[in-house]
Amino acid sequence: MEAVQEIALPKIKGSPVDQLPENLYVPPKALLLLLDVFSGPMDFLLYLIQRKNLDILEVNLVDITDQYIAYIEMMEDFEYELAGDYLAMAAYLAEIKSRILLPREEENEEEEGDPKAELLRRLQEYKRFKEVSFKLDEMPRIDRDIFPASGKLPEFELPKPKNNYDKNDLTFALRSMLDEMVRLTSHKIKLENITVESKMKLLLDSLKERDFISLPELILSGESKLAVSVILSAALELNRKGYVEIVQAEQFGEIYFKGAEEVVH
Amino acid sequence: MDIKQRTEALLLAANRALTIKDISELLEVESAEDESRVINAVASLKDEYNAKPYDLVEVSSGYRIQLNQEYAQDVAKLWEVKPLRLSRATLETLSIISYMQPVTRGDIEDIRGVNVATNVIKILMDQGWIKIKGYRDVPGRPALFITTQKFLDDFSMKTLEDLPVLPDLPEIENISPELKLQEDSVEHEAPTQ
Repeated sequence: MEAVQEIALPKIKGSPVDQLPENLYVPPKALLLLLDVFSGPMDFLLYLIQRKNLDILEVNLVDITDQYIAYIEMMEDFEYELAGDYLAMAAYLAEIKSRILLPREEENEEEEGDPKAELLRRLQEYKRFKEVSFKLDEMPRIDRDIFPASGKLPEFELPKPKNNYDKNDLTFALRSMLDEMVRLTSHKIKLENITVESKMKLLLDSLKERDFISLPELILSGESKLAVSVILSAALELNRKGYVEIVQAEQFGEIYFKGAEEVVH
Repeated sequence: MDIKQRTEALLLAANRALTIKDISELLEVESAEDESRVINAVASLKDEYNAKPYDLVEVSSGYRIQLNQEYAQDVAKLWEVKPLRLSRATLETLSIISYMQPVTRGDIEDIRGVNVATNVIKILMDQGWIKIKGYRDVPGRPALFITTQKFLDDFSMKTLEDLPVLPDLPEIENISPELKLQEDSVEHEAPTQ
């Protein structure tokens, strides 16, 4: 309940008194003030009623309507889009006032309901939510009143690789770099005079001396990339012509070249 | 390591509330007997914290260790960011959603007599305090808002029953006999969950 007093809401019928002056000064920028201080027209209306220390049900709606409209009219620089809800309330109040002041036919009122009672009911409904919202605000709230306590987790470190290099590794590294430098230097390309025919002859000659030649062995006999590709072409060409068989004992096993029967003998 | 210390370690490290079930699962506790030891551990820790500036508190999503409220002012200085101050409009809107849920914007506007600013809903959504539960089956299909478990946690509640008591609506007819009311004018009390 303290919060309710803090914002200068009087208790109904007596007890804590309204702290705002009886004749509220309305400064030029009253609208902004109004929008700032009150959460809406219901809130403002409630203020007008309660500053007279009246219960909602005791209020003279005609008086309140006049006051409400007077305040709204006093406002300069009226910004309609901001204050639309206040104007709507003013219109509603004016309608109620007219109904109160003008004689009416009983039956009509029965049908349409009593807008005064409806307004008072809405004011009461609003009031209880307004009150409870202050209490809700007082609830211990996280990151304002209460902070979760926690232990700082240790830094989880990944095991560092051990330094198990020796000076030989260093020498090796230096050596590779030097080699790389040599490789990066420019060089002239010599045209190699290798022909598929010569390599075919060479392979066939080799196979006369031996039964098998493995693929790596054959390839490594080449002195250059060009030679290797020519040797391979030669071997494949011989295979195509039936002079050489290509044998592989098992999957992914070594590939061998073998002289075809008729050629060997 | 006994269960009590392991429980405390989990609660300290979690940085969120843990239920007894969470703790039991994390400690790979299987027997009902061991689970009751977890419950005892929590109770015993709470006891121990009586002498500390922090406490073990049960909120909607479980137990959490939190600093006692009287240290909030000191602690808040650790951070430059000021705690979020909720405007009157935001608080009223949150209250209406809490007590009347599920509600549409229109329901809130009926009570507050003012447009619900998009900004207000956005703040409540951003805080994770409200969410859309569905859409009311009327023209326009307005979104129905309800509060979340985080709302309960953040406002130190276990259930919606921990909300402050909503004042009753006075019986208008009894006080002021000259007023005539439509039957449906008397609002029913807010449902509590």
